[in-house]
Amino acid sequence: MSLLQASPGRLGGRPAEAPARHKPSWRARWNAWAPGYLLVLPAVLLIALMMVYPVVQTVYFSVNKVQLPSFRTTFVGLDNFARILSNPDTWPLVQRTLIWVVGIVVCRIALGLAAAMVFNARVPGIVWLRVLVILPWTIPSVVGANLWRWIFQTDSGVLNQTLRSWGLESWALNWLGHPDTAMMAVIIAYTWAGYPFVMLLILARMQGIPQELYEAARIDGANAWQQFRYITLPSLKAVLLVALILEIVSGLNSFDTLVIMTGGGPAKATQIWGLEIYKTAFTAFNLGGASALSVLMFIAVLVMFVFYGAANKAAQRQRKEVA
Amino acid sequence: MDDPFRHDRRQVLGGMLAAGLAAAAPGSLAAQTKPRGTVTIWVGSWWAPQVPITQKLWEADYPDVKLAFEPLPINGYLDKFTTAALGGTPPDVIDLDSTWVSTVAAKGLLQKLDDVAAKLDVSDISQAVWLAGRFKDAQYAIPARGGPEVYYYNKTVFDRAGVPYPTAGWTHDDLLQIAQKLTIKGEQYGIGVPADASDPSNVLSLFCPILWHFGGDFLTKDNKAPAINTPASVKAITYWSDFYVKYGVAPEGTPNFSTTRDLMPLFEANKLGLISSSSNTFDALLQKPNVKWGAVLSPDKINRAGGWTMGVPVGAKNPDAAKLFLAWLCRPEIQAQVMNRFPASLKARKLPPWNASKWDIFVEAEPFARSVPAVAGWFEMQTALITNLQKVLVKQLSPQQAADAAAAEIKKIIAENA
Amino acid sequence: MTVLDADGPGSPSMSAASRSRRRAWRTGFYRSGIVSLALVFVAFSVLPLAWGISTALKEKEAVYAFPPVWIPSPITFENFIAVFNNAALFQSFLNTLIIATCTTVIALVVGVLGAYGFSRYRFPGRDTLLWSLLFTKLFPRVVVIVPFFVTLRNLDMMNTYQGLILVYLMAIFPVAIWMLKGFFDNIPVEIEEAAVVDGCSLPQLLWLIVIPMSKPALAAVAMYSFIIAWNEFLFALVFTNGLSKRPLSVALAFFIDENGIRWGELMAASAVMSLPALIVFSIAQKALVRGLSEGAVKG
Repeated sequence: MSLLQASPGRLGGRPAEAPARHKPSWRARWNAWAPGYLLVLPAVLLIALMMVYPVVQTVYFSVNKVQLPSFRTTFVGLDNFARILSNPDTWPLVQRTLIWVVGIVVCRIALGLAAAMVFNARVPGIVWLRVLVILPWTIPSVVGANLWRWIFQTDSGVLNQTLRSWGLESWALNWLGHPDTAMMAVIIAYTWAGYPFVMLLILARMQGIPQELYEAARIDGANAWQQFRYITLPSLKAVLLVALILEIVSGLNSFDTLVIMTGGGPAKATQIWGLEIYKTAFTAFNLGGASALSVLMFIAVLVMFVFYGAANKAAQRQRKEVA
Repeated sequence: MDDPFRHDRRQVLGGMLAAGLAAAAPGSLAAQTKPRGTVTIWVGSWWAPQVPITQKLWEADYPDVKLAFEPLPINGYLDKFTTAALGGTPPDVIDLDSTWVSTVAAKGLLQKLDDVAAKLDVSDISQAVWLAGRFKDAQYAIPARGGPEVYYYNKTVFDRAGVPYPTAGWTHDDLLQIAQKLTIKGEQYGIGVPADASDPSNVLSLFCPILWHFGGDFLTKDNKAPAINTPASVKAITYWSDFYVKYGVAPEGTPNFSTTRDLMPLFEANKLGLISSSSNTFDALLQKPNVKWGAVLSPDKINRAGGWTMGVPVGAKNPDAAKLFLAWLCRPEIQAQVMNRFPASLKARKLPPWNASKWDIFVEAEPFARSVPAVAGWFEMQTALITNLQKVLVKQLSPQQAADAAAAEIKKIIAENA
Repeated sequence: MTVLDADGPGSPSMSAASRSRRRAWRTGFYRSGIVSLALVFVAFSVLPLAWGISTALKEKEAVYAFPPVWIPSPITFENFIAVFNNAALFQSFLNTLIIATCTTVIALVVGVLGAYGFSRYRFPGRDTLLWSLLFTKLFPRVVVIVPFFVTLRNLDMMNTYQGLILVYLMAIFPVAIWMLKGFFDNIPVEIEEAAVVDGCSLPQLLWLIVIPMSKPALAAVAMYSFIIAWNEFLFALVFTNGLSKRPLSVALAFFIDENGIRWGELMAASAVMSLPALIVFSIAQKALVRGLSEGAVKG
């Protein structure tokens, strides 16, 4: 019964708001926790049903040599990791992956934010333009990637032909055929497919910023930039963080667009971590190696977040001390 | 939190173990009993229109067994098969590109088909594709589709440059000269050189015959060491890459071009003089009446055998009926009727519709067709090779350097698969 | 609003008439600026697709013409007619519609419950759980696909709607929870506390207060999950067999065969099939626009 009866004391129970006078009994504590557990139960069940096995298997395979098709494993310790780390191709792979991830994250979030600002304006007809902007998102990546590949095609692609017909011969680059431009081209295609989502995410949050804040700011004489800097941006911090995390994860794991557009070429210029995992698993049939690559990626992201968390906490503490 | 997790993990790992055992169990438990039930067959999407006729002919011969075809798109084809095979529920028959068989067989995903092979008239089957289905002295796949390759030339492009059409008996020297004469920079190009890493078979179609013509090869005769950096092979790589690097007779986007997605469109737009491809391109061009084209045997006649072969995966539920189907499909009169791509059976090629004169060129090309080596880890080898070939095209490496780099990688792959 | 809001602070010394004239001029200037910026984004989004759709309106021979033609002449609708006459494609479309809709609904339910739990309650293991949700997304599809395959088979869900819904949920609900949690964290807790004092139960609280206040976030989550389920290819290909359950993304891949890409049919089908997604967006738009600004926060 208490599960369905939320009580104000428990709501928003940030530690500072609920100073315990004496240590509560186990039962009381359980009663305080139970609704939380109940609410997250479906999520936990889904994880238990679907994700525990893949995760356990991935970690297990990463320290084994896996024989197909029976998955007979031979323990090899850190051999799979040692191979990856001692491979001279790994460092360039990391560099390309960083370029790719930073590229798509910056492009998607910058475009998404800019588009959200534009489409948040109250101008008649803008709602319909907004529907059009979202269009790329409705196209399956099999179609979108092939379409971009065709558009970027050096000799007969519509992009180069248009540039040439405008007399911009020198702009008509060998987009996917040269290592220097291939990465840029695939980043553009990947940004196209995903920035509408970032826009929607930000747009949804923007709707939640109370108008009163802006009105108050205007009365105080804040200009547009100051309003953006001190009201909009701080309000978007959480949603930008979510977008950042999602885009990093999607960038690290992506392979389907690249498989279709370049296959990682030319000369490995667009070979990135996610594609390497795909090729290790499905071209080399090396599940141990693919698992080790996945675990390494996992560790790298984990380390990144721990650092971020620590830096964030330190910054908060500093701010408090200043205040 | 721990309890449900542990319970679930045990359950699922148990399931995995069971799947593993099922997959490891030998396939032919019921060799004596009469085949029954359903045979599931995964094939490329071009099979789709042929399914009804195949089922009809089959039913007349084997009413007790049903054929369930699953035509699949080429995107993700092998990913789907691999996942299903590793997951323990593969189809009973899988249609495989001839260059895939050895890699897949080496990983233990295919059953040996020596018992099927023993019952077949092997001399009736295109030798090159047959050998592509052999791995370590055992047969792992039975060819149904053969595919010697020929050159297609665009008459409009030739006429525009005032170059006579190539004729059988032309050489690689002629090819280079013709390609040079055809090329008008920015306007039209002599030859399409596929080099796209996302489409390795396309790359090999042009590269292999050149490699073999100059006396080079991927591996030594015993398949135990790389031969891609021998002087002859390096000469071939130089000849191949010079189309683009030195002479500029291949389109500008070459390092990322595949035959199907880039070169064919250029060919159709009358921007490209020559491409090398198999009989399915012949079909495709027949449907384009506005393109004026011809087909000719490859220079110096040597060509790469394409083709598709059918295997029975380990873990197939109905392997006996599956083998029955493979043997049935090898019957020339059946293959001639069922296939909508050039058949692998030599006798089927003498039956209608394959005895029409337009197919003669593929019959002529057949004796000069060779397959890529059927060795473990071939996928990785071809990836290593194509990556390094691309490095030559984008001028990061010289042909010799690229050949040495590829050889070093291939050596490692051989050692790992030994 | 924000930077791009129309009415800036008017100078108090100006007369009312000149102020309104000036405001009208500024509004017009501002509007045209916004619309032209919006058109830049529309161009980036739409031009690649427009090229594809123009291809779908061309005759086969004209597809690879030099130089490229944007407005085909003659225009042919045979590709679009072929799409409408293609019963298999329609079946795939229905399959995907069912899968995407169910995935979205379930993801919203799991997401709202989970996000509210994580946002409003403190309990042991909370932070670990929250982060592990997100980290499940770090495991590449390539390495989870074989375990997923085995699990689905053990659950007897191969080649079923439920099976695909389940695997898509795994991709979506962690995101749903994170997005919604971020949003819930920003809703002042006082409203709910007042409701609880009035005797509101938890389900009532969610249904009557939290959900109506979170429409924009729910709309964003709904679109996200709908689109993931709509577009995904690898899982769709591997976990279905045959026509009966084949999703749309797989059906579209059939237009890319060993002889190349049948652009006309592919783009005609893609265009027609993306219409429902657009309709969903248009509906969700309203929730996005109205959102909190008219919602309970003000009241």
